Amino acid sequence: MSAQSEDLMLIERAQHGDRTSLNELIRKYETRAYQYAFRLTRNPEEAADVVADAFVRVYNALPNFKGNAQFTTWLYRILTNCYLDHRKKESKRQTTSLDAAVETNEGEMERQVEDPHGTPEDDLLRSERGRQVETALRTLPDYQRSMILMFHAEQMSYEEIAESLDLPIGTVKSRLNRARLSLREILSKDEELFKV
Amino acid sequence: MNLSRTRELFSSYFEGELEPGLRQQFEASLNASPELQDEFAEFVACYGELGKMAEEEIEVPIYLSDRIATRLEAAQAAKPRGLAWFLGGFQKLALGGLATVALFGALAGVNISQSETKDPFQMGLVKVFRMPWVPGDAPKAVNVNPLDYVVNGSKISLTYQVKDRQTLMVDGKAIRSQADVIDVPLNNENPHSVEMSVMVDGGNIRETIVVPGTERAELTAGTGLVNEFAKALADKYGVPVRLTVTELKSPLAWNLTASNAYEAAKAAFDKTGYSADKRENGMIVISGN
Repeated sequence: MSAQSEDLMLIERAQHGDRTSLNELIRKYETRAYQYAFRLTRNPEEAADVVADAFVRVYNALPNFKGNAQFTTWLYRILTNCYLDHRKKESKRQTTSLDAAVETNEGEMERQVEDPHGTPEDDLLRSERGRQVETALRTLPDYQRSMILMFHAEQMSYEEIAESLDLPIGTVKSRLNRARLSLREILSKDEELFKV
Repeated sequence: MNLSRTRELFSSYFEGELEPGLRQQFEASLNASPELQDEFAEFVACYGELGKMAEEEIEVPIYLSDRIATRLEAAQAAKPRGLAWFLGGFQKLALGGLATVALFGALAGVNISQSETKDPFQMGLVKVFRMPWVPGDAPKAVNVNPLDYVVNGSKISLTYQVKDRQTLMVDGKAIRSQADVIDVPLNNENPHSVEMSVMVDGGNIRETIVVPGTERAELTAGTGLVNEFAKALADKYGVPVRLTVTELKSPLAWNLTASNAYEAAKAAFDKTGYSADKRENGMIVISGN
């Protein structure tokens, strides 16, 4: 049985109230979903939140899933939308100065802020170029970044990306090309790393 | 073909998708411009570098399954009766088939620690029951936390779903069972909360459970590590707290003035890297950092 047929079977069972099939579907895709969410956010906590919210949307929308699209492309669409919603919420949040001390009964205390980019040891493991690419990616608009990640990191085809984002395939190709041109431009300015 | 149009075709040319006529025009435009040749060479290098992203190893946090289960429970609870098309069971997401569970650490004052020299089954401290078998229900071991906690009023118990080697270690002592699920009551008769470390499969999963005591604390403000915050939360609001954090290094400051434990935890964790979830059974789950 192909992965797609297996997914459809699990979805059909889940739609008829078989909770173990839904659990199985989640178990099957939670790792992949997390990897995509982590690549988008570069933050384990936020990525876990995006994935959890995405599976809630899957749970809510599953009774209406018709099977016209692959489950994976549908899941990527939901994950991308959840990520964009998280970004919107974050941008609306009131910001606090990182230099501001926290007032407690025992006096002032320095605010602790987690570095989402990992430890220095983690950084060493990544190549200089890889880190430059990661930094450059963060400057791209969210939609362009999600497309780049779907194609290059998740290794999805143009067709699958078009289905996930509900866009014509030509639009996906032209936007991806534009995103790569932007990245090239950003990276070419950076310490001659990409000069050949 | 002008420069702008040539750039638009960089990806298609590189991927070999241009039809012959267009490819010839593209190549002619490229050959006529050394500047464009440099740009295209950089584009190719960038394309190659992007492809390496697929090789990055991303570690999935052990709390992921639990967080998904928590959110699904909340979503299910939010649905009106009759619309909740699944009748529970999301906890199974957070249960799995790992082998050994070890409970260690500060167990003083908790009933289970009193069973040091006796068989806990004979003492009736460890309740064993079998889950109904459901066709197709085969939990995977990878990234799935086999531990869960059941809260019933002031009674709390640790539930461990056994699959392979069916061994449970409580306070350093192995408990073997043929059962599918082992249930360990964690009753704290001390006035203050107690903290227990829980370890699964030689340390692949480590977490801490804070069991509230018999009395509630008046103190609202304090500073300390996240486990100390969890104890303060349990003392103040009388709720069990589960910590799935990897390290307890970063100090926190808190002021427990919120009306409930979940809101108090959210306020204390703002910008700290920790996060709190509230289980339907009232348990607070702290993760992150």
